[in-house]
Amino acid sequence: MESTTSVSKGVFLFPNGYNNGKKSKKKSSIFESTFSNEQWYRTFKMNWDEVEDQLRILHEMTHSVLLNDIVSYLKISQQGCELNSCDKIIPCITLLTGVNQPDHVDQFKSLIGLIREDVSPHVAMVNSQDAPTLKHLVENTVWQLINDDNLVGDLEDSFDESSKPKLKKKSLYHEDFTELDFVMIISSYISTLPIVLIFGVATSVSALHKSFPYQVSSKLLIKVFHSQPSHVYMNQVLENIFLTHSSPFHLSGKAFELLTDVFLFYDFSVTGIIQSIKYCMMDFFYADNIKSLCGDREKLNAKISKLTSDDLENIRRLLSFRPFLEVQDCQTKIGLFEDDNFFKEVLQEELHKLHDYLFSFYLSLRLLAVFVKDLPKNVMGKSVREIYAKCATEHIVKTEAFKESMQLINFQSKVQLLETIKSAIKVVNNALQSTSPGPLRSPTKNMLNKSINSLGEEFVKNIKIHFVIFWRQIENASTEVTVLEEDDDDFDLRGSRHKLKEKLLKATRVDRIQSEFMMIRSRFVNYLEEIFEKSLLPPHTQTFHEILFFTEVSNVKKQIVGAPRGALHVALSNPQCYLQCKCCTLPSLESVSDTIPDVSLAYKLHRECGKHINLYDWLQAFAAILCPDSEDPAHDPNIQ
Amino acid sequence: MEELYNIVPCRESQLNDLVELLGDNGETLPCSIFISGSLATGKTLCVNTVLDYLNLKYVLIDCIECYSAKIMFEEILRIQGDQGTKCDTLSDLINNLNRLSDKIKYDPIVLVFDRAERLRCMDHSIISAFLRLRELCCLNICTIFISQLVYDNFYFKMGVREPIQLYFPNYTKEELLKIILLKHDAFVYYLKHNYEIDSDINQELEKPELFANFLNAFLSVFYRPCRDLIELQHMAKVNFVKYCEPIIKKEINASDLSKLWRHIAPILKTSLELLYLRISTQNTTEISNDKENDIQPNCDFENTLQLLSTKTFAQSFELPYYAKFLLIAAYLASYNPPKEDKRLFMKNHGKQRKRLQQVRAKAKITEKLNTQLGPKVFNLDRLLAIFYAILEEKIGLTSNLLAQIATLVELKLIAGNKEVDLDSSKYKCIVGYDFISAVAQTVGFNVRKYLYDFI
Repeated sequence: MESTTSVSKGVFLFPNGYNNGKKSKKKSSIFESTFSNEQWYRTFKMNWDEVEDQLRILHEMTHSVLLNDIVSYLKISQQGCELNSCDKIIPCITLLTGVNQPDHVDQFKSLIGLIREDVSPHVAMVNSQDAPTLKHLVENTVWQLINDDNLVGDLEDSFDESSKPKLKKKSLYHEDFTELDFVMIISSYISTLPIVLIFGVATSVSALHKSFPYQVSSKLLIKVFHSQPSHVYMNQVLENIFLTHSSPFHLSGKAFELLTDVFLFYDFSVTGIIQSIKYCMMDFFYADNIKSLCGDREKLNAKISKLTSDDLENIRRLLSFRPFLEVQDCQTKIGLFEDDNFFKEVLQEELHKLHDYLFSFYLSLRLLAVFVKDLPKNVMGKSVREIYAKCATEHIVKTEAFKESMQLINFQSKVQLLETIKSAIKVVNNALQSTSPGPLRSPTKNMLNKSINSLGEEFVKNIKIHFVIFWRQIENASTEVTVLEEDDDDFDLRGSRHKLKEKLLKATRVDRIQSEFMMIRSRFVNYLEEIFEKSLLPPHTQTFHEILFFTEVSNVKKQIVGAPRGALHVALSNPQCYLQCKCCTLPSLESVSDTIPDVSLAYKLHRECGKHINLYDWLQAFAAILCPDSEDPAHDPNIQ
Repeated sequence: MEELYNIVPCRESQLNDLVELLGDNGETLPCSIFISGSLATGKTLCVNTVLDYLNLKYVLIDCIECYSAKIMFEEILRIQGDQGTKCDTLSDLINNLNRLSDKIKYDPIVLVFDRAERLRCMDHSIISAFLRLRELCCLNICTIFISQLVYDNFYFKMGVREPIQLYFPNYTKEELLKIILLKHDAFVYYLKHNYEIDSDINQELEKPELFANFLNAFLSVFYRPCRDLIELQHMAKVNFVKYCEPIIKKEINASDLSKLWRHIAPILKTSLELLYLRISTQNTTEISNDKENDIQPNCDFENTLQLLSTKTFAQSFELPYYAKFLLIAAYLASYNPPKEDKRLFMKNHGKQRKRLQQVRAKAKITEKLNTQLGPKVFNLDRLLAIFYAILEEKIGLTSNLLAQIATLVELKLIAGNKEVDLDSSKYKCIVGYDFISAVAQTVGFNVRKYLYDFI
């Protein structure tokens, strides 16, 4: 089952994470050897590999359209080359990649791969950091273009050499555009050497225009391509991979909020958020065999049977077990504590319930997203991600925003409502398709399901049937208000004020008589409220949710959001925190002792002073603590 | 001579001069010639054609390629015919050239240095040596320098042998017209390449009068801002298509000149702003039409202009939330005097009422407006202090936040050092008011409220 390659493979997918590279090295050597026999590690690795595969597929899918566009443009520009070459103009592609998207490297790698396959084998990629001077730049490119050649030293030589291939493409991933000369050189060779430049620009084309003087910019024929904004990509990643019932572990509302906040407020980096999730996952799985229960539902029973009694004891200590326990009668309570086998059975049932809950939870989440997406004012947010953050922290049905949006749905027009129901049915169908071969229930479970108002697949099927019925009803329903008396009054409209008043009064009353459509609509909204009430309970209300949900945000916060100043302060004021030595135990943060490191001591003393420090006093205090015996520390040569 | 005139039109006198200088076979070549003239005035082309015509042995060295003197020397030695001679120093070069003299005796050799202004960045001795190269080696050798700069811009410490100077003036309007007219075929070809054209209109379009009329109109707009022949040709090509569009669509008759002028005049004016900026408008119908990309294919001038305007530029910027605030803070730090920080950003800033009047009177003078004077330098601590003052929520000073400063520097929104160093690094915000107010708008922040000038 074990293969050492998979972990390192996963790391290759994100080669730009500096930290990650470090981590991986450690992992393949120490982690692999120490933990490979542990249940939790195996589960973690399996799950992470799966996530990674999904990520890779998603990544390829999202970039393929753009990359294909670029490649086909390259092919066209090949023909256009002859037209331009007389003017010494270089065809040039500008790819707007978006700010802070650290998966640039990935994107460019796959682009190069595609160009190699489809257009020309001669591609060079130059990073702005790799080319501080023209010399480096030229040598770097030429070497990449003719990598079998050993004579790189001479520029002219190499250019002659490389002019042999018919077509040459240069993919220049370049952020700083410092090398104007390089463009000029290429432009002078363009007639003999078809070159296409590809620039990766973080912001906009104007950045190119601003950084080139006009002699240079007039030599470039720029074609602009936009890559997908990174927040769209992040939404995709989250929705398709992590916010699904099949995701191996789930983030609690708070953890999720922390991660998305880091993304939205700080760095816009999808790779960053994936790494953070990975870190959460590692923290979640680390040294905890209970967590081996995560993952495939089919294997759940087998996994439960493998648990040792220690593991079971750990599960009994979970906080969410208590409310569950309180409901049970005395006999069962004793059974749960005494009899491991009985406990396993209960655990199994409860976990299946939890899975059912997850399934309907995520489905309802998506349904809710579909329904509130087009509502005005956006009280609930637009994306699944935002709604998840809300649903995971509180019971959404009880919030004002939810009530408001339900009211708004109650005002929707027929066409709109039909449209949304249609897309909702699509969502349901997708969910059913993805699982239908999956969890086949044993009869016992079926019984259980019914007893808890059947969440899970049954529930979803039920929703589907209801939706379809509602859809038909709404489609057939007339929107006309069937009021008959109104017609007679029209004659006397010009009459007295009194009459008009009466008419208006009547009209208000008439409004209450609903059309068929309105009636069905309000019934539909009621139904929606009902299903959401049932399925969108926040995860922390569920028994054993700790097994599948990652809740310990505070543990990872320090690692995910580094605070250099804070860390320095802690290190200096409480050195034991990092040194982990016995000698530095301090009764309180302010207290000082002679055992702590000198820097730390000096820091503490300086904090005791006000704004201004007398250097002499400071050193005196320092000396007094270090050698309290010596009477006149000023004469101590060590301090002076 | 006639064929020379045909290759390089409108440069008769320069061609004559060159041929006279280099021409007579028996005579020795002049020691060095210096040719100056602005971009795209046919300098290199003239020299090349003359040298080809006279069948002289010559090497063309583009100085921009020679990032080290070694490359230049080795390039010169290509004149021997064989490659790969190692040549590190000037004396090596002279030795190598002297060795040549056995082989070729007194056959004329010409070295052409294109973009010679680059030589100024190299060692001083190099250009001085090249100016009197013939004295240093016993060859009938001539060096020609081609540069955009006039000779006076080359400074020498020691007296050098003055080269013969030739000046290429800019083309006049008539000359430009004449030269572009010669390219008529290419224009029509380009037009046909882009459009499907009926055969009867085809003939109309091929008429030189139509093209000449267009060029007249075109040059009347473009001649003043731009003399660069290549750029003019490019712009003419793009605009000629626009000019012919109504004819192809049969909206305007090809002979109706005034109507055509009215049609093209506004287009020419807008495309004037795109001078030197080439954004491909190539039809990309073959490209699979993705929703996000299909703004591009029929990208018009208006579209491109939009891309360039500051406001949309700023809005197209996708910065993380805090990065936007950091940028705003940087702007405020750059354009507010540090001593006013307390008053601007703190709630209890003490009494300053009395002086406020004076301050106001001062601030009103436009010359003293900080926003007009350009950004001032600030340090990291001040930036962070302002950042925390304008940000309503409390957030920790995390590494992610500090990394954003580096990102802003990299995006060239803030000038400064990439490494965040608490003590020494100084920054400057290098975006304008329009930009910052657009950014501030996206986060619902009123910049004016915090600018000293506007209080």
